[in-house]
Amino acid sequence: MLSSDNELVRLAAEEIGRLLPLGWRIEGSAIEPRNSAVDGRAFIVAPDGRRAIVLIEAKRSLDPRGASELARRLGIELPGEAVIVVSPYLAASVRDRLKASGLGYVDLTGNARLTLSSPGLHLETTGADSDPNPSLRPTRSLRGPKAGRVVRVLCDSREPGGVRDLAAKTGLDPGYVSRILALLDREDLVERDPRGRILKVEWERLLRRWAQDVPFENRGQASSYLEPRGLPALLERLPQSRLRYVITGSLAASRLAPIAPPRLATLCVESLDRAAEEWSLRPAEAGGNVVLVLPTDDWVFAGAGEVAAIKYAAPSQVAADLLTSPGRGPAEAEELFRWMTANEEKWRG
Amino acid sequence: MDELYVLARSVLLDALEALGPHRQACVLVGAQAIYLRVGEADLAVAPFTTDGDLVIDPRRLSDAPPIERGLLAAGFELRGGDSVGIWVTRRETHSHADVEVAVDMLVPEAVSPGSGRRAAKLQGHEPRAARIARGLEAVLFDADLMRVAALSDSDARGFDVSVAGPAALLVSKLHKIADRAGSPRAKDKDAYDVLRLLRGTTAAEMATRVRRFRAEPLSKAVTVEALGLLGSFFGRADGVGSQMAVRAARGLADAQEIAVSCVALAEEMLDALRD
Repeated sequence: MLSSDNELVRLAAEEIGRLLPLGWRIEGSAIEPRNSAVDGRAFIVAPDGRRAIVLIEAKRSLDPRGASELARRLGIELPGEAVIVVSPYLAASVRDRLKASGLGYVDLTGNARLTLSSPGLHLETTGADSDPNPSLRPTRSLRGPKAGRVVRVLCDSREPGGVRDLAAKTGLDPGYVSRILALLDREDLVERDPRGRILKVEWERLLRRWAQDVPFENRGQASSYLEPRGLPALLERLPQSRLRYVITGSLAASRLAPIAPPRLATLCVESLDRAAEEWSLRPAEAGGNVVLVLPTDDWVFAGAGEVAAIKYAAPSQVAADLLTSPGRGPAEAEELFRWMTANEEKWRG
Repeated sequence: MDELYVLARSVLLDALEALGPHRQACVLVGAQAIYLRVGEADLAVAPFTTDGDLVIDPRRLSDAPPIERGLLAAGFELRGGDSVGIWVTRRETHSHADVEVAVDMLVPEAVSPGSGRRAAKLQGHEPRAARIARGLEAVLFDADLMRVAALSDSDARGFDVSVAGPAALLVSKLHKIADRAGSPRAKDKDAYDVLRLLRGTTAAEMATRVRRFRAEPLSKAVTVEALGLLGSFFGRADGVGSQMAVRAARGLADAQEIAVSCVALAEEMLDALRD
């Protein structure tokens, strides 16, 4: 890890030294013992020789809430001390909170602020307003709305390539893709060669992990409807539809791995209202047989297959959706996984 | 396809064949007509039983030859006891040694020559050959010629026969449910047939057909009555009809979905008739 706390303390001192006015200097930067309230300290020396201690608190990442908590803690443990918070990058919202709490800060993009009363000093500079190197923040889950794109491409293609290829295929920032891959690597869900190319994807475990991190109810805004003439009537209408849609859930799974006649149609659409109107669905609080989902990311439409002019989501998407769906969904997902294992050549490109 | 369906259709064709020139006075009703009209909109519940039901329009029926002559010659006989208008024959299938299949001959009450309780007493025919039934009057005005063919590859037969329209079938089903409600003869499947008819037909088509026979003096009364029954039996999720449909589909479809579908479709049709 690039930015260990010790490394950050050293970098903070270096950065402050660079920003000090002519004649001022910083010296004696030291790492504090592990159990102290902060991570390091340093002396700032004025041209007239007067010195002030600044305490340094290193954070590998810091969000506004973390900043508030930190300010509260330091206010109790170290009242009145000059403290500088250092992090690879501090967002404007975080800097504002630190400022409001009277804390100094410095990040590695040139954002810095420090006020001393004796010797009197005020320095404030502005660096980047967006994180230039997001890969410094480790990713711990696949919860991000776009993480699913990486998961899907990894599952759906036999040779997904490396970070650049995945970024190009998913339209995502390479830094983001890299963080996702780092997580998957740590969790042993992918195997990479020394140059970073994906050698192997544990696609079933990966889909299970994705489903766990993003259960179906978090995959979009869902609404329940009734097609009083039953699912066959809806299916008859879909081929003529001008709307962008894709069928997922049991209706899509039963096409490949049937276990029981599907009773619920789940469709991802671009607009709930327009779809309900065009397909003459009635909103239904109970007894609905159609669920429309406005997905958080429109990647669900990617890789859809068409059978008899009806669009079905890719099997990987369907399986992940079903795993956390109500009713028979999880059982249907298991059956679909069996089909996917036995027929890899039919769905992995 | 279940061999009993194949057999039922085959026996129906036997009857139609035996009726000869009287075929043009017949209209196919009942489950086989529903199947021809709305197909197997879904397979949750077996679409029809083995019986065939034919309505006879006395106004189009000639006095001769007696209808019983052809039917008896074709191996049908009137079921004994106090039953009326039920013609039965016995057949063998692969899995059943001896199956009794019946064809019911029915005459709408409003056009029946016989005014007794049951026997239609068609002029020139066996008095008990057909029985009076109320609620079938709409069939006289809502029927279309359709090809009714055998379901087996080895049977090439087929007749162009009048088949009751979905609206007339709906009216007759509603009367049947009302007649039998609360008795042991009440069958949940009749309510499921109502749902099947409503699902398989657009509200606009239903309304057009209903308007046609609601204007006819012979069928006006039963139609108005049936529309009232539709509202009270199926207009609520806890209505008698909706709940019968739910029971008919128990274990095969979601109860709530069936109930709210009944309501939605009944409302839709009644709305279409108000326009």
